[in-house]
Amino acid sequence: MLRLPRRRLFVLGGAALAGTLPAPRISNPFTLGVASGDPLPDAVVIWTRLATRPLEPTGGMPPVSYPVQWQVAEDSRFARVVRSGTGSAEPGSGHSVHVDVRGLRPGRDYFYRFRSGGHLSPVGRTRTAPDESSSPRRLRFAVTSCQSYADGYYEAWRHLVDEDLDVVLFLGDYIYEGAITSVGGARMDTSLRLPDTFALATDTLDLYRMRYALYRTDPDLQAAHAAFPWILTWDDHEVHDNYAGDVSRSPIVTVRDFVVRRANAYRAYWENQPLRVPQPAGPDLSLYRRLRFGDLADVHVLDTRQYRTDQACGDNLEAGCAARSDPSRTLLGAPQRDWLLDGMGRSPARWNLIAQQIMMAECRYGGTANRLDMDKWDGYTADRKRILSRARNLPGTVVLSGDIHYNYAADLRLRPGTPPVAVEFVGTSISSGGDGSDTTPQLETQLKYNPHLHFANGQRGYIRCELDRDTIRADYRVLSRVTRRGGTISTRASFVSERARTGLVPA
Amino acid sequence: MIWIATAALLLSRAVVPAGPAAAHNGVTVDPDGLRITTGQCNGDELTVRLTNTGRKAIYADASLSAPAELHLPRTLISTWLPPRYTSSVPVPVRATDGARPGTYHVRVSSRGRTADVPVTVTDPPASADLVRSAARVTVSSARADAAACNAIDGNPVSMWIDATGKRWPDWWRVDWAAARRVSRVAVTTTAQWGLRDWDVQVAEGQRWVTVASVRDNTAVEHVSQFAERRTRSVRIVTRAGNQVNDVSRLVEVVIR
Repeated sequence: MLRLPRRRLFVLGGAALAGTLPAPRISNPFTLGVASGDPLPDAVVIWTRLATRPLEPTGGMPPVSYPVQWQVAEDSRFARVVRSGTGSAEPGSGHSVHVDVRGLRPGRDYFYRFRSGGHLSPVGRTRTAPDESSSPRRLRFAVTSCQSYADGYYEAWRHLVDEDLDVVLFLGDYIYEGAITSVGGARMDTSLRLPDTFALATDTLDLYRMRYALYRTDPDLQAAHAAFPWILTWDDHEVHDNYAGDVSRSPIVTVRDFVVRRANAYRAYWENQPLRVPQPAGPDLSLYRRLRFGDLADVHVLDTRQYRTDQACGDNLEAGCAARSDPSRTLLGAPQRDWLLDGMGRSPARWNLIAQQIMMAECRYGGTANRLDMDKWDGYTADRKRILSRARNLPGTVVLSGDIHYNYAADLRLRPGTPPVAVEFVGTSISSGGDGSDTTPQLETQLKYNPHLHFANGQRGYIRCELDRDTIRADYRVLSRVTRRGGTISTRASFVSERARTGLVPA
Repeated sequence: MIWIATAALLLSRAVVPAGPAAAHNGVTVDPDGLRITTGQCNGDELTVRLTNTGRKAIYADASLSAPAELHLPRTLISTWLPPRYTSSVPVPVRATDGARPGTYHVRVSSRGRTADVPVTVTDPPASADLVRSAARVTVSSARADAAACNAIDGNPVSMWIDATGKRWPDWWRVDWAAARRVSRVAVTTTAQWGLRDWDVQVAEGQRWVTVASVRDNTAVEHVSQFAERRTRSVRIVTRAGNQVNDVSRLVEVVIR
């Protein structure tokens, strides 16, 4: 298919446009790279988005559809192509292409690429999930989150591509909605010369699309997408800081106005990620889902933003807030919560991984009355209690979190003094927060007031995890710096927890 | 306000009767004309309103264009519109560097209809405060919410803040289209974490000449006076702050 002459491609283009003018010729449209995600035993979603001039509105693309051919092969030279086809990059979908490639073999590496307008995309590598009836020996994955472009370079992604991983979990804050200066904020990249469009607050669909395009131009991020399949969920900044359901953080923004912003943000999110869920049309997008890795692991991917009750006691750090434990308040919404509890209860897997955004372990911030963060699970204790009660009867429950730009390792207990029912690995940010530091006075205070926290660290990086039949191991990979290129990586701490005896032990 | 489509669109502000006849989608622009002055910091704002008067949600686009004399940071607005909803989107407009006074037109198009908004550009009125007639204001770096223009907007709340924490020096610079006589630079910083040390420099040919050096300042406002100079550029080179010695905080600059 990729040997088609250019003329043939134009015929296809004309047909796709159903009688309208042929799509104009374009320069290289593969400036945003390629990606794959949500691996199943027989399928994976491959993605690209056409943009000839990625920092311009519509990515520089004319408002017409373009046919996009795709190939999936067993080898990186594409000598053994096993699946191929043609999709369409539509202007109404930001010229994105999502292909749910079926008919693949379980637990296998594949290579994929796209072609459009005579241009060939970079090659991506992906991997299907193991057969559902198989008993995999191990699963290797990374826990990642929070990649504010304006806070630094993607040194973490540059190092992550050298890891041996089956899948990357990205737990939210893929973009940030705030203004970015012409030099890319803390990157101070004078060659960037970002147009002042990026200094506008992101709230309409065109601006969210441009924001994703900016992020996706980063070569280290592109490399990380091209190296592994990703499983993504979102947090708040994909829409707006600390929003809750249909409520903006800003009290002057009405629900009616905020859901329009949410619709624009969700649409752009879908367009720019390798997701299997259907394209949203409006302010709702059902993102929570479950992925199975043989009998070794069930990964429950949660959405802790879309359905939550507004934060208790006015959000932020609060002490003595009784509303946080009001059983009528919910973080997940009843349908998602019931789906999770049911899925955990039915899971035949050795391990249940709960991939989500915000820290589940109680985290006292100290001070006169031990303040707690109302945006985290501490602000929604009824839902937390239900999940941990289920975990008590489910050996091998592991919570994976992001959001706060710190590394933590925590035992999760139903009550202080009782045995751990699960463990939690909170992963630091890829770049958000800038260079960071090994510790801070606040982290020291938290370690003092929260004996179930085994580790806290304020550097950038990711967690590399390895799961085998009986043990999970987490290596906290941290970077020397991110505001300039050339940061070095090291393992700051490692912990293990045994399935048969839940609780973190330094490795 | 400019109504782009037919008079029927005016109904979008009132109760729209049900039925296909009323299912118009429109774009309007507020106000129906702008008056701005030349200079990077002397622009204004239009509000583009996209309305869905129908009964089904839609995704709508509006494209904006302007001649080279006007700068628009955005040329496209795309948004989801639920039924009977109007999205109001602010669009900043300013004259581009070197634009001559005149009337120029911003055009806003959506679904085959175009609104035309005349923008009249004049030179700033003569003012003793020379920053009023600044052609350009540039900085070594800026936080996204603390841009260079904030230091000459007359607003005591907004300020310029550089983006390189703990790294000095930083600079804030003003350029004029033609030379000005300069002898006084008043700097307003913040009471907490304010500027401590800075130099005032004027351009002489290709080089910068320091005409005043401020050291160990703790005041919110400080005036530097010096022998009058003719120059097209003045810059403030910041070298240290008080207390948390991390960034430059420049609330207002007045140059006479």
